[in-house]
Amino acid sequence: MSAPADFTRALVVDDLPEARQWMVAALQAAFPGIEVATAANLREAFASIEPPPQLALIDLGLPDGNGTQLIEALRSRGADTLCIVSTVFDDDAHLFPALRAGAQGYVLKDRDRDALAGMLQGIAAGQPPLSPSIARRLLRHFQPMPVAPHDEAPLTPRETDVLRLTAKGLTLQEVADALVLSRHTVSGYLKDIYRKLRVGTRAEAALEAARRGLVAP
Amino acid sequence: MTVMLAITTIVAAAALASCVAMGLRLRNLRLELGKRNAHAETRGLAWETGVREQAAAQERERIYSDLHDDLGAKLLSMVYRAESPVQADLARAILQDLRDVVTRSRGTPGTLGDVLADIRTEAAQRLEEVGIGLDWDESDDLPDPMLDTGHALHLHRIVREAITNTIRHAQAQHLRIRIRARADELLLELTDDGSGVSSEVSLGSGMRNMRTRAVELDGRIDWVEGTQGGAKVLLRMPLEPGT
Repeated sequence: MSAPADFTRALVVDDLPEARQWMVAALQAAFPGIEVATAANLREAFASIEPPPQLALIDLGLPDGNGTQLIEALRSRGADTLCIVSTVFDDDAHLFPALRAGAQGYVLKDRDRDALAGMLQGIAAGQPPLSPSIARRLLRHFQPMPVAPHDEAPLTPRETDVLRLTAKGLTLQEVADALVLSRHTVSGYLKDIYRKLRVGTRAEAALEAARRGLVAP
Repeated sequence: MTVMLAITTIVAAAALASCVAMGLRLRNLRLELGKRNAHAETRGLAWETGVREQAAAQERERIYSDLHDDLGAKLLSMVYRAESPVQADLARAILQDLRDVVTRSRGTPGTLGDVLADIRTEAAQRLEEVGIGLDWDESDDLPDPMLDTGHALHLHRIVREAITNTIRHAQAQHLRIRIRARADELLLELTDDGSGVSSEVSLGSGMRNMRTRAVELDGRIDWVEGTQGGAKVLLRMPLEPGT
């Protein structure tokens, strides 16, 4: 596993003060010395992305909108912020729009600090988490359509294998063992799958952000 | 400490009660939705169905936001303020019940395999945070029938409750979850190496709920002495032939 990336500046967006503290503590445990700004709503968050942070931990259900809007705005500006969703609900219906918008991972807010710190380091090192329910959603999403073809790159057979096994509840290590691959290689496939999910959605996201008045068109 | 635990339990019970109330509300809403849909169909007005579905979807979203903002935030706060990993797990388990209500009621239906995959991931996470090892032993030749939402929910809750008992009462190091199919039955066993059945069986309502849920699955649930010195929970339920 590669060393955690050198993050020095992060943004935590969450409307619950306790959750903000918890996430700031997890970030500091994951990346010692990191400077963390906080925002309690979208408005404050938008005021904190000039210049864009290297890492943003974003709650989705904010009082004045959805955190996905922030991810879209960062992407449409071409910021290379590592966007991570922090959520209480990790089902595909909640997470999928955020992943499509360009989130590179997600964490559950109720995990303990050590587990969170480990997951944040993992995402930073290119090992995005994937629950069985999201893997199933991804399989459906990338299924070849009988009529209208997807504008997205299709999955390779190997990527499909990784998703199928993950959908069955296997851990990263077990997927690696079953496919006779290294953990590192399997993580690489997951990262590619996340990337493919975003391909073709950037223009969409930019338009959408402009429509909502988030950025100048 | 004891007082804190008592308060936590009461808050948890209250949260769970609201959760159940929300669940009922959701079920009533679904019944109502069914009636309305039937009504609209008899009038042959497809567009009206669409409008009604949209209205129901909006209502569902509203209930979801209620749950998220209110209960979700309270439970999260209980996790953050917990004095021990076991206390935190109690709040997490309720949060998981809440996730079930919010997500399963609107999620896509799944197969037995899908449900087991979700159960496995949840079990692994919970046990990891309290330092109990999980040995997941699922046979390769399980059939994979579709499970309706209700059945999936019961299966989730039974396993969640059994794991709660192991975490809270058994002082176990390991939990083995073994899943087999025999004839037209699914056998699901949870065996821990903790302090045995008696400490777990005295629990009361949790076990009653598990039994009720097993009946809802047309199955049965038993507690026996485990082969690893602890307790074994054995769930049997009939399986439709696989797809």
